Amino acid sequence: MTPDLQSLTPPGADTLIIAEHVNFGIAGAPFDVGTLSEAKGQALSFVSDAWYQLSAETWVGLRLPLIAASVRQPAGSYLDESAWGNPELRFAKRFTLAQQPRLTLRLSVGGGIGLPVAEHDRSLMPNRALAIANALQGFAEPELFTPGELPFTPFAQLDCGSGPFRALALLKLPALFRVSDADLPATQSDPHAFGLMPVLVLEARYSFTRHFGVALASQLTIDALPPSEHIRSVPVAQFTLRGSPYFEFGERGALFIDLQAPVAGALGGSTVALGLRGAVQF
Amino acid sequence: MLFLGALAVLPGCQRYWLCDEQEPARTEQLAERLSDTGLYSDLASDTLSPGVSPYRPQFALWSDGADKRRWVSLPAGSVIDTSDMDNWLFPQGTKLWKEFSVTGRRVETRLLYKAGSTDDTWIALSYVWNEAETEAVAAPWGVVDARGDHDVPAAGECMACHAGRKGRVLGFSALQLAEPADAPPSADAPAALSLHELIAEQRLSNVPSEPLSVPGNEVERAALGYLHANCSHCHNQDRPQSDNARCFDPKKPYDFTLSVSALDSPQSTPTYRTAVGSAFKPGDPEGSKAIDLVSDRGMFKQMPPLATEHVDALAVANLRAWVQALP
Repeated sequence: MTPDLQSLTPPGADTLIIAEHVNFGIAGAPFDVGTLSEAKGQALSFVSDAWYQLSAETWVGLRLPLIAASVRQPAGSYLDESAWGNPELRFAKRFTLAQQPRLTLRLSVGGGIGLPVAEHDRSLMPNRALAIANALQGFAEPELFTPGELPFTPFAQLDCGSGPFRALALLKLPALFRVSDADLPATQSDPHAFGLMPVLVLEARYSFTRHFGVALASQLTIDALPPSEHIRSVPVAQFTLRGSPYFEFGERGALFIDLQAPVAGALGGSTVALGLRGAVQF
Repeated sequence: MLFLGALAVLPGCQRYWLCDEQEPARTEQLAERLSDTGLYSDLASDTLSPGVSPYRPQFALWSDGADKRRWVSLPAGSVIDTSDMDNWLFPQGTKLWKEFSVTGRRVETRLLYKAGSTDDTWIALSYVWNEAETEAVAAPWGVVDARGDHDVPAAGECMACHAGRKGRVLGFSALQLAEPADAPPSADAPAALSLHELIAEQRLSNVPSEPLSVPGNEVERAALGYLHANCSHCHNQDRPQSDNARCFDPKKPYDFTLSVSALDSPQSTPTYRTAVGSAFKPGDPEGSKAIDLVSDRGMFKQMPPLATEHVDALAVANLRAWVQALP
């Protein structure tokens, strides 16, 4: 997840928030093609994110994912590949449910519409690079990294804060509507017309000072309706933990340093990813 | 691991494990089906085409225990340029096939084809057998875990090893064909083409001046042979200039070649001259880095680095015995 609206203190009117989420690491992901049943390698993913405040509690945003990966070939060598994911147009509205001197409870709801333009090729190299990037984030961004899909992603986020404490809960429901076979070979794969992978994130933050704090998050991705029939038998859920020291620069910006690792699920226990999430408010 | 991961994706850093893709235009010069490559006159009965001969190197590349059969086809009347006895240069049109079987079933057959007159014109492609073993189809991007955990290499990966030798061919050489392999001829593996037969058929431009025999006792010969067959295609001091297809360029100055010109004694071989005392510590298998690497498998620590996921326990045991006995 990018810092999103919650990374910053409540913005003023006519605010533009620019965020960048950089993630790198080593990952192996199930890949639903008979001859290449696993996508493995190192990847560096960039998700550029912008929110523009339309009114006091309403935003419109855009996300653009780009991947650079070294994809492991079957015998053990690597090939470099870069690929664009699905760009996404997002809307969000925030409601303040309760506000007291020491507790603020807000609900943000919104949705994203992805453009189904993620790269793919007969070599399946872009497809594999995107799968690795998705695995790096615990499969929590299928709307960005699944080629051949038109994603609709409603989300809701609840956050409350009291003094130095802050707690967040995010639920999103990426619904993936297949619009092309994404070059998946017909004899080796079975793409589904519809996929659904709910993601739940619970995060707790504690600010030690005005500028420095620590966040701990747990993330659960449910492989409810996979976008393609799995070739391998994989667990239905991916559970990931993330620890993030973070720095806040007044009301103007925030930087999170993420270290995340899978606890259980298809990734197994050997994958780690290091990420940076930065956001600047104008 | 994180640090290595970061290095792996940083552009411009030295990444020896990064290979180039074999250009599709080259791969497309080869037939889509194995039955059209010229190996068989009748695939159903396993009947070879005229001019196709089986061969067996005396020292085999470890392929996780897969059973292998090999064949060669030289253009009619052609001669192999053997002026450099360690690096044979093959005539245009040469084809070599290697078939892999796991638990008695054929998985893949690899083809090396020399499309032009120069050695940068070799094309490599693997064909994957169907369940019924009635045909094998080209797999330019390889296969992960075919028939269990056997991985079929992508076409671009083949030259990671083969391009480490000037002639690109690894198992069909003077040294490898000089003595028969251990396995006796059988219905599945009939009498194989030998160096003697190639000389008799006048297929070689030059012939060895004396019989080729790997020096040393049984343990020494097995160790030197293993290192030659499994390591020397990368670790040699006579690698061709890079042609962009090659990767896995070693930086260490080891040379594990069994060179035809250095077979007087074990001590005269490049292995002893370049690696004994450094990669192999005499009398100390535990302290020998090379034994440590061949005894392990993993992303950052294994030798050979490609096309194997299982340790060759027999070879490791022999290497340990060899190092233990080194004075």
